[in-house]
Amino acid sequence: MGIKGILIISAIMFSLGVFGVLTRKSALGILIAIELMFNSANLNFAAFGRMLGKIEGSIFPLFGIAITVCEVAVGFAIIFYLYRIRKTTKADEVDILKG
Amino acid sequence: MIGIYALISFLLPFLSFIIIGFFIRRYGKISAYLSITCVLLSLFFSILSLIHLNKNPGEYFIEWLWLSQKLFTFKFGIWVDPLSSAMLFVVALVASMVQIYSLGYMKDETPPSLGRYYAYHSLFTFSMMGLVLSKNILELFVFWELVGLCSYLLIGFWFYKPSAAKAAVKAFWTTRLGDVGFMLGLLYLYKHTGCFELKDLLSKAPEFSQGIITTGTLLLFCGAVGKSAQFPLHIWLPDAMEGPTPVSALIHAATMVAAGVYMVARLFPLFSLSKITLFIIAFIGAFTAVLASTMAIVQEDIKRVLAYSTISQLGYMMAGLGVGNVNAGFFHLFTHAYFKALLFLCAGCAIHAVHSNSIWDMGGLLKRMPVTGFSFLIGLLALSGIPPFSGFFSKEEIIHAAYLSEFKLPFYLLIIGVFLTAFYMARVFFVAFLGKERKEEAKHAHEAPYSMTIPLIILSIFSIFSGFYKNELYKFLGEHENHRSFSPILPLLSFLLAISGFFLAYLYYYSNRLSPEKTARKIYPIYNLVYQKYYMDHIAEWIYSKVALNLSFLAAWWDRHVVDGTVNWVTYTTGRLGKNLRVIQTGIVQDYLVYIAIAFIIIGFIVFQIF
Repeated sequence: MGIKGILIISAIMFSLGVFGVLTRKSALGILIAIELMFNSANLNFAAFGRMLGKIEGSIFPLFGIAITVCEVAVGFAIIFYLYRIRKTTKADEVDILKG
Repeated sequence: MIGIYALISFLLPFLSFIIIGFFIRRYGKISAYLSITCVLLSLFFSILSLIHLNKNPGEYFIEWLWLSQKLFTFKFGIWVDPLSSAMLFVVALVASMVQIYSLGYMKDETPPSLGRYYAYHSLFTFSMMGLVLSKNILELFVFWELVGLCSYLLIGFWFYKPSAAKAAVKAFWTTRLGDVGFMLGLLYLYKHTGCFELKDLLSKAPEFSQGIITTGTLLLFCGAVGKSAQFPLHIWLPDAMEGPTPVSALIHAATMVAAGVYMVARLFPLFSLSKITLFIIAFIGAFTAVLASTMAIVQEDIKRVLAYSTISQLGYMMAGLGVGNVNAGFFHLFTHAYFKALLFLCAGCAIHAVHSNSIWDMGGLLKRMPVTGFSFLIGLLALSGIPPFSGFFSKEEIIHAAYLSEFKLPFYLLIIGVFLTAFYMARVFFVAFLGKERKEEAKHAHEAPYSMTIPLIILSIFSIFSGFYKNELYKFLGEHENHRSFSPILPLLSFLLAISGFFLAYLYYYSNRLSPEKTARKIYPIYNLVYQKYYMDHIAEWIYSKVALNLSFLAAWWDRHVVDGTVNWVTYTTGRLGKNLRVIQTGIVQDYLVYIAIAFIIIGFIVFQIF
């Protein structure tokens, strides 16, 4: 499988991530969709690293994964707190900031 | 030293105003005595400055910086010269006489009201002295407005009487109309000459172009027309008689109304450069003199007769200035201040005794009130120009100057005025002071208290003798030689006219050979025209109610709909915009994410230039 196939997969993953973020009602779903977008980016790094034969391309996804872990931790904390206050994790039911 | 004397004399009434106004207004009697003390001291200092100035002639300045800006510096100060110090003396003398007189006249007022009365009087005296001593034209304008304010306050002193309140407002807006011209005039002169200082204006005057001087002086003269009650803005002065009589004597006869004349006299070197202005001043003055004296003939209210007489005499002064003889005009101002104040104070005594203003309610007062009656007679003879009373000299000066001038019309008008003046004054005297008592009150009239009669006596002395000092005054004012050939024709003519005026009044109102009613009926259209004051009040009222009021409505409409409309439209549109835009702010995270995604797509299109 050449670079083209990997990029197509990555693009599909990213689009699915965007679709998920915009359509999922659950906050957890949105978080998972964001992971999908993140990983499509990581996939791009790895693919280009292999194509160009550079080690940075393989190392950078590792940083990306570490950051994602932190982000997920923070995201879960927010969702827990939201649940404690609003008794829900549905993103479209939390609209107190509207004008 | 002279400047200091004048300054003290000027500030003493202010001190008394501050003390009375802020602290002791409740105690009427104390306020009155304080005010009188201050004004008497002020009189003393003004005499001192007059005497010293006579010894060491010259001009004395005291000034201090008031405003210092990049564009101009404005100094506040006093300018003592013969003209201003003579006027200062007149103001101080009449003010002190009137304040003493008021002790008797206003004794029925409640203490707070008496305190208010004396506070206003002190403020007026201060402002009038400030006007007299002003060093620059802006300062003059400030005091000019202050005396207008005092006039308003004192006309409306009995503000609970609707007629007094109305008269006060009328006086205020009529004079304000003239003051608009005055303000425009001083701004115009400043724009074209760059000086506010009177001294600079006068000394630089010959450098200015004719057009600037004519426009500027005519605008300034508008102010004088309003303040000195000249045609066509004379309508406020008769109504101003609603105020207490001493106020009429001080403000509306002797001092404030002469402010216009004084201003023209002060700026005379400037005015005299424009032939057109002088002609207009002379003509308006002479015309007013005759017009007002015809109206005085038919008035029944003794104070209104005197008010019209004041208008007429101010017309004489203006005419005197207009024909180019500034000293004659000022001399008449000088003598007129005494005898007209005297006449008003006598009228006040008569009114006090009879409790009515109408001359037909009086009668036979000379017997019961000899001091008042004889003082009135002295004032009358002075006003009518009978030698050797003071009015004769000053009026004769004006008529002579008018005779010599190149405009002939003012001379004839003034000569007619002499006859009319004698007639209407004699009418008042015959009806009110001689003949039978027509009313019960007139029979029980008795002489006024000393506080009222002593000022009468002092003013009588001045009315008799001030005319003799013509040459001294002229010399003091700076005219070195009175080099005109004395011809007995003109004095004789005006004397005979005055006597014939007396005689006609005698026939009508004393001997009853002629009946005023019959004559009035015979010439009814003319009589009615004069009785209705030439419909001047109706015209003014029409202008006020139709033109001015509608213009105000128009301005109000413009303000409400166009000015406010613009402001409201801006706020309303902003509000609507916000209301419409807030719909997109749903509070749901995913909506925002959609906007971000759309924005990124659009930005991507733009960056990669897909379109």
